[in-house]
Amino acid sequence: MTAFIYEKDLSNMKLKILMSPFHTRMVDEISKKYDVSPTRLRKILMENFDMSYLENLPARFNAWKSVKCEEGLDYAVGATLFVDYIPLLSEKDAEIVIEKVKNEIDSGTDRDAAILAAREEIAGMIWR
Amino acid sequence: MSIIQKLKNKVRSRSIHVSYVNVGSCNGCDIEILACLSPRYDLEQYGIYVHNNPREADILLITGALCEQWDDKLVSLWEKIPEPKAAITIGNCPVSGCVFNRRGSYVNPPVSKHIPVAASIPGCPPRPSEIVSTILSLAPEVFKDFEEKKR
Amino acid sequence: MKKTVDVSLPIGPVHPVFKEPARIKCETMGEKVLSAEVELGYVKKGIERIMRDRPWQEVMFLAERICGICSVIHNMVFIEAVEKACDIALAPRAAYLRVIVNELDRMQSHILANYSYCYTIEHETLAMYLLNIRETVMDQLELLTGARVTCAYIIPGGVRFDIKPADAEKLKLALLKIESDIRRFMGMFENGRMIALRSKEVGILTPEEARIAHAVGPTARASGVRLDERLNHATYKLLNFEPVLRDECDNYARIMVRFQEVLQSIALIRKCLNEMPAGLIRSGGEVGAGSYSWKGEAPRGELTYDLKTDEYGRILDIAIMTPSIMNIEACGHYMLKGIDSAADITSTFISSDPCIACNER
Repeated sequence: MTAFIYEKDLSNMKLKILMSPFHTRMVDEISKKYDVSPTRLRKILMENFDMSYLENLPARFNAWKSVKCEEGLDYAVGATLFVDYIPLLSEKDAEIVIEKVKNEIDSGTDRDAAILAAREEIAGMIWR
Repeated sequence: MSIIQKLKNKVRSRSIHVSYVNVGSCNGCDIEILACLSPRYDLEQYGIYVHNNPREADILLITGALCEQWDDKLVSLWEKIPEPKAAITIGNCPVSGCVFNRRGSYVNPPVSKHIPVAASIPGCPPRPSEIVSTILSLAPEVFKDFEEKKR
Repeated sequence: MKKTVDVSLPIGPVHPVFKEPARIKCETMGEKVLSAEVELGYVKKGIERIMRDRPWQEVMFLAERICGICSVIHNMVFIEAVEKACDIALAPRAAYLRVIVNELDRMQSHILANYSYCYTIEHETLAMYLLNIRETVMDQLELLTGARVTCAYIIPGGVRFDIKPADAEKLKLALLKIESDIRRFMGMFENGRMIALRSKEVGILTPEEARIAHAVGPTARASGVRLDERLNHATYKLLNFEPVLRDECDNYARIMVRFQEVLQSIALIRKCLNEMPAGLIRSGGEVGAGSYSWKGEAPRGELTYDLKTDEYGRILDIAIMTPSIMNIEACGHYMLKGIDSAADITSTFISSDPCIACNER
């Protein structure tokens, strides 16, 4: 037999997990920062993570926020967030993005604009 | 009454195998069932054995107010238990949903909608001694002359 | 999950060693566990949803019923958050009584967790010893609060009952017995060679992983992470509290941390009984509008309540984060990965003291 005997569609229950107050706050924050719709973000999270992971997302998000990076570039772009804490990106992809931002800032682009562009790129990588 | 039935009655009165399942409780009732196992209450002196394995159980103890995942699973669990069998619900939750049965919550009580329930122990949570005495008074009623009654 | 493995091994939801329903799906290669995933949803009740727009008197009982094992701390953190949101003063004697009840609750929870672990590694003798001593702790809890499990002892401004001098003497006597017994059982666990074979170097959670998954409580402290909300609590500061830390990072360390914390709790209760000031156990106050986010140390770790009340004392908004959420996740994704034997899956899972009812609310 190929199908699992007890496998059940969990998406409804996963959505219930994501509707709790701490999750709603986290989803709002991320979706504002990366300019995606909360519904889209929830869908991506539900597809990629199991239920215990989903429950833990706010704690992981807070753990990431409490780690202060000196440079702040990683923090502002959120590359470590999506590699270690909410693993939606591969390490290689994140490195490419960070490298690109650094080069842009060195070549004289405005820091804020470069960071915004990098965030957009990360969003594009995740939500493609 | 046949001799074999007498023998079965005798054996069954000192060998009650129990399985418990949490279908959405707060753990309060579960740890009171666990407390029954402790040497102070000592379930096994009455011939009650807690295996927590439905396939070798006679009595199913149910705690909790029934959550979504259990809608189909509780029935299949009940079907796995060999005859003769009985279900006892523990606490207020399986009866009425207790504090959780409000508008907007995800629970779906009572448990008796899904499987036949032989006895209920109310309380939030009931004391271990109440659980032991209920099992002891219910089991003989259900198991005595089971084969003859069925005929 | 990708199908690059021999067997996908599901465990649960009904399993002889689980107190509560959860399903662990392990991908195994031979006996080795490659990855694991935890399926929940068996006890999701939506408590945060039904708490909203209800008076605090109701929410107090709902908060207690989030978890039946550590009900005192849920009561305590919720009431402390309400007190801080509405500036209700706390009677000094009540602060010490709260610590006594909370530590008794922590003792019974830790002993229950260690019982489950010993039962899971099939050391039933030690398990039954522990379960028996737990009943003595439960008696003390009942003596003080009047109930075994959901006692609703802590109320805004104070506690419900004072401790009588005769009861204090009984409590001290019981503590002596519990301490000598726990020391003996701890010695059995510490020196048992078969226990060491099943526990040491199994289920490793490195400090780095503990930080990423934000593991809390004994699970984090067994990995050497100094994380204990009791360090930020006013009464515990007066008692010079210092957390127990170990650095082995394995199942053995997690159980030993709990044993040591039981002994530490006994010392804390004794200190409270000696230092407790005389006086009233309740102060006046009215629950009004306000909002506050407050953390407390549950037996399993950090517990957060973030609430907002209106002028009539109704809870407008409430968010709860329980410690099991982080610990189960850390267990599922870091501890279970790379275990050499399928027999260790359940014992490792139990060693993180999972409380599914807390986790899902």
